Amino acid sequence: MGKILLKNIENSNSADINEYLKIGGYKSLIKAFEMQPKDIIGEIRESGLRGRGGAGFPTAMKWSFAFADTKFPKYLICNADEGEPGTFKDRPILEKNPHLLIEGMVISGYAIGAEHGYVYLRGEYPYAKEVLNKAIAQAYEKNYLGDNILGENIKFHLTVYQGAGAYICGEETALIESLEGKRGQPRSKPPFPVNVGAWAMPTIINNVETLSNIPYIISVGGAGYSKIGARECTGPKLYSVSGCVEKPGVYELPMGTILRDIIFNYAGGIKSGKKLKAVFPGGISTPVLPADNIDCPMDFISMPRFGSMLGSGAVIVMDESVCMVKVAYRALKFFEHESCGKCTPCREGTDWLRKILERIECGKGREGDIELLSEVVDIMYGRCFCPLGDSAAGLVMSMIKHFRNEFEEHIRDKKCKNQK
Amino acid sequence: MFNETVLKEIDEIKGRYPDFRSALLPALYVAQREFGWLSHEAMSYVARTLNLPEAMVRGTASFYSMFKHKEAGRHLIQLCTNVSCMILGAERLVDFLRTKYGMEPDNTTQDGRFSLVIMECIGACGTAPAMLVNTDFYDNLTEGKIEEILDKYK
Amino acid sequence: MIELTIDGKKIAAEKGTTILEAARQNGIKIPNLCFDKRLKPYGGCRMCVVEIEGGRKLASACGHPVKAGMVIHTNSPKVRRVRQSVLEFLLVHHPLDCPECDKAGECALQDLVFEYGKPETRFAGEKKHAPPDVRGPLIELISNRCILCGKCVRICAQHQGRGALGIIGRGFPSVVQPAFGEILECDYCGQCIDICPTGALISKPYKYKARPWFLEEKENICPFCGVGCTLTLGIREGKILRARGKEGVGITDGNLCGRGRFGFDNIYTEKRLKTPLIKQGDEFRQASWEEALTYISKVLQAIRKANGPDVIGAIGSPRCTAEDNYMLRKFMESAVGSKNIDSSEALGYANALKTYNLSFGIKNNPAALTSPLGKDVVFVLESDLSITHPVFGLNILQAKREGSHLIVADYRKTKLTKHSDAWLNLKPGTLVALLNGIMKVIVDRGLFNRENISKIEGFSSLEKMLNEYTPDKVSGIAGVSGEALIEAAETFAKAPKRLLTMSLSASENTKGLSSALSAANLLILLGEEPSSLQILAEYCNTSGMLEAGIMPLEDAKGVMDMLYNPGSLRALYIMGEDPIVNMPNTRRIIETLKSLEFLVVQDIAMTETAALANVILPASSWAEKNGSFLNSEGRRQEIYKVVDATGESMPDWQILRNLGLMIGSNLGAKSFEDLSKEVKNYLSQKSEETKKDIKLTFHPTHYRPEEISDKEFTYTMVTRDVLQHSGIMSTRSEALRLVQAEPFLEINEKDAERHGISDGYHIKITSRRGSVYLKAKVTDAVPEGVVSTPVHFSSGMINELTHISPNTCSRLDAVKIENVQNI
Repeated sequence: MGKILLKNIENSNSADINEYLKIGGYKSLIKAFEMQPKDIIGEIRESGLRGRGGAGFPTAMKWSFAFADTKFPKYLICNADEGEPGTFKDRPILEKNPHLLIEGMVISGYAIGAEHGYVYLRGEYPYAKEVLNKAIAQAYEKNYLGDNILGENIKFHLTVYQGAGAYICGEETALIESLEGKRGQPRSKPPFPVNVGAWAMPTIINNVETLSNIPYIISVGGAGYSKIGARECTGPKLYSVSGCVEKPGVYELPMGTILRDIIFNYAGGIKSGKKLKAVFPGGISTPVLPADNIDCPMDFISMPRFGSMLGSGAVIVMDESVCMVKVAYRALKFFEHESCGKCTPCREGTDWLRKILERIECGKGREGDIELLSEVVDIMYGRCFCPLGDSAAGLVMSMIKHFRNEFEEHIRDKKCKNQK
Repeated sequence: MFNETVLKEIDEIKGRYPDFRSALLPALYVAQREFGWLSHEAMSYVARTLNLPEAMVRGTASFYSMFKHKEAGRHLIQLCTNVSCMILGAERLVDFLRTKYGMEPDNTTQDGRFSLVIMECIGACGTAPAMLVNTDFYDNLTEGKIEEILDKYK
Repeated sequence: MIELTIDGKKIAAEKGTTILEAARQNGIKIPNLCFDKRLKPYGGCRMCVVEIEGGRKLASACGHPVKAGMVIHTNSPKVRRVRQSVLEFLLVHHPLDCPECDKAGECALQDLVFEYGKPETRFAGEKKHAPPDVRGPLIELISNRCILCGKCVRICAQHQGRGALGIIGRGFPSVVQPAFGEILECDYCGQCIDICPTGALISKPYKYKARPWFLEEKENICPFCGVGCTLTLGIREGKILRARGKEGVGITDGNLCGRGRFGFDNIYTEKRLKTPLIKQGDEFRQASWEEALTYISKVLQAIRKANGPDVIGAIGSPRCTAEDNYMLRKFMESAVGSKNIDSSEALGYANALKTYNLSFGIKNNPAALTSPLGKDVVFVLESDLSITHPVFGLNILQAKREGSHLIVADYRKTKLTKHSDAWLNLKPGTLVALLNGIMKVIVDRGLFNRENISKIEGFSSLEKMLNEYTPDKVSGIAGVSGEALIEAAETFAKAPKRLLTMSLSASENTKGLSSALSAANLLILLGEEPSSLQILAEYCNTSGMLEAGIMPLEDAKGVMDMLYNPGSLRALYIMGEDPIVNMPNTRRIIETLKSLEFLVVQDIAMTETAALANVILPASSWAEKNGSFLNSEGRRQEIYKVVDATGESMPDWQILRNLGLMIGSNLGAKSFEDLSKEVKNYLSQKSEETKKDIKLTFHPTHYRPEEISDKEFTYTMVTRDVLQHSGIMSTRSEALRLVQAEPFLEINEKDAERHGISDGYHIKITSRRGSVYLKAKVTDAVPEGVVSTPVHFSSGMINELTHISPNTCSRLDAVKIENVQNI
């Protein structure tokens, strides 16, 4: 498979529209404008494209809900709030291939009938903001954005909205609240954003990577695209690999590539010849996998069978020297910090989990703390308003399941053996 | 109060959204740029400019960790210590900043040169550990590299 | 209808109903801590989770709509376990200070813990220990007790349209707080107190006053504005200790404003009259009822004998019950033989009745509190309805939230202008010009049905008159741009469902009969029904008083004679009114009252007017007697004696009955029941008469400027109400005085700067009639060149400055101001 999403990014000037045009950029847009919106959605359906944000929802299905809604205006939002720890896959698109995203968004807007798009960009990416704004200005200049795109009666405007440091805003309804200038607390569903989204209008929210797949699907057709990747999870996937590997980075590989392959083949194996201990396959919101359970195809359908999830495809690799209690503690510090505070189980539960993990890690763990952790997890799991609380509980659950001995050691020895 | 140019800038931002309230986050960024941080006064100006209740403005501003509610030093260091960075030694770097420069998380050094904030993931996990100094991005950090970098910020 | 099963019970519910609502409608209670039907579902507390068969996760009932065939369990072991653990989490931090918490006994958290709680907790941690925030005058915030349900924040921002509170911070450390530790933009409505499921927000005047289980709760109608909310009064040992709103109770469903919630304590003022008082020299001495009534009857009879009954008059009260006012009229007609009877409403709501009569040919046009809901355009005419009729104002905000286009014409910033889609920022008192301008646009652009409308009497003279009100010209008069005027006219004329709404009261000097007539003209032009004009009667019983016949009859003297024409009367009987403070041109009123031979004042408390009386009679307050109020909807609501009468005071009707007997006239009303029946009959007869066919007539009214500022008197002074007060009665409430105890003068920042005036500075303000001293309130709410002040306070005597005018567009006063801070 040649590169589709990261095509041409080694070119130091790849973000420039002229470079993009040289490699055939915006041709899909011209092709799309010759199609009917419903046919575009048909191609997407045939392609089998699933949302790359983490949940893996079929993109065409989401679009057709918004398409069918008769309220106008409709909005298209690109979720560029890439905040899941370990995830940095959208960043190369945003910083090096912004026109691919813009092209994808114009086509998507045309397909669902949205005339305004917003890129909700995480606040921690100031450089991406600069690049994106420049690219948008160029696209306006060349008439790929505006009131009459390429002289057609097609309108699409694009605005970058900068987040301000809140992981929860990656959740789509929290993102909408934030875009509306509010505290980023998730909304009750139903109604779903496809019907009542931003400013109460039908709204499609897609991840950067999802939208960046659109031009290629239009160019080769849905059927052609569906040949890439796994059977029910098609297309290329960006895997961001970090932690204890020789060659960390973003890898564009067919969906369903085996996790072991990603770590040992593409990312060069474990750093300094150490032994693998554990992997978060899709960011810290996905249950941890022990070293002996990494022969799993990295796609939305297969991963649950292995006790985890694809998530954002952020592979965090931990070698034998990494203390799992410490990882759990750090992760819970993150979840507690990022819990929006709206629902009781998440607000209070993340705090309790963090407190217990902190004392275990610091050698002050008590007899029964592991059971207590399990009880808190039990209270939280499946009862929180949004997935954040469930993720926190799921992480602790998987840690105890696979590395219970480390927790017991900490409590028994009253210290972390990695500590001096 | 904001000067005319800033008021115009906020007015222009308001026009980009179907509802003016969307301009709140951008306007808070503008206020932070103008004043360095979000003092009560700065937030009041935002409230007045956007015709929003002050409690709403404060409630919103306090939700987001990139809005600063304390006066920062001349240079703001935001160092990530989340899992990927932690695995590769980010916490040692915090200790280094503490001992070598006298920095404490969420505090400013006595000479007012640096403020340190411990960040959640900044999306540089592949080149961890990483930090932002103001809006400049640095990665693959080591103690030596940090020394070199911080020399540039007086 | 959708059919589903909840807890084994087959039920039907409307499409779109939430599970919680459907359960409630069928008597199944699902516990919750963050739900209120006035607010959008929040789903935060997780107490209302229920099990839906076939569902992956538990669903929160508050936000989840019902679906056909759903099988729901609201109390399964799984569900109970979740509720238990939620409570366990909440109790980790919630202090167990129930013994000293006012809420204990009626606390939602306490009740739920009682039902679901477990005796021991697995989590022992530090309790939160922030100090309580006691800075507000009426509301205390004890954040340690807060469970972050966010209801207070949401009711304030969403429902009240304010936003005085915010959730500050994120996640676990979040707290509810006012903006910057300062209480800004607070209405002091206290709705947050009622809605708080714990004791985190409490009423300061009620703090530590009584355990709820010792309170006897009785319902009564609020004695302040014309909305007529129901107060749930908490009484202990014969004293009212608090008022609260209860969902499902009263016509406003438990919504209250601060006046209703906190202002009841005006009946406990030390100014209350306890015995009759007779003036002897310059002093009053206590007298028995017998002595006082004998004295009054003798003097009135003597005057009648010497000069005939036409030199005796009476003033009624929109604060007294329909029964009281009915008896006053009967007393005057039967015992005295005079038709001279009127009230302060002659300058206020009587103009609305006049308009209904002139424009629509009907006697009355009762308002409907829910009228703003469902309208495409709501147009508010130079009225701060969120202040004069706070809970009606909430309906305007609700309409706006539900999609109505809100146009507000006002000279100043108000809560309504803040929420408006279009604010026509006109110069005070120019409403008539503005409305004429709007009609001109409608006529010129053909936005009305000429064929039908031109047949209506007065159309051609209206059309002719409108020629003088081109957008340009109106723009010059009213200061509203031509474009804004045209846009408002287009929007209003093209809306399928529309509403004009305003207040007309004696305390406002920006409007008059012509304002209401112009509004009626506009509606007739657009082919609207009279119900599209909503003029809200000001006080709790303005409508009832007028219906009881307190308005001047033909060939009889009205207030213009009785209060502004020295020598017109020899004796005056004033019931429940303080014209000296409450009505324009104090000096003229004093002069007139002093010209009387005999003045009787009957009131609940000592007033400026009573001080001039020969005899003062103590009346029982609204909570100390039975009777009825007619609210601005014309709805008769009964009030009850819930506490004992103060001192020897008596209900007004009873005093009048007794006095009648002294004079030798039996006015009936042996008991209250007798009287009540008689009044009910009388009112229903009147309402039969009211049901007449509509006859439409245009009454073109020109704009006439009132007192124009000149070189000396450079400012225009507007009088208006403040949110905490209603007439002067509320100024005797200690609680409300904690928020606003004294009058003030609002002045624009730039004007203030010119005079070197800062907030709180003493200012001398002078009109052509007199001077008073006020404290400055520097604000951007009023425009340059305009100052504004409330008339409620007897310490302010604002009406020393004001005047009565034949101009029916406004009674504005030109004034000058001087900074006297350092003199």
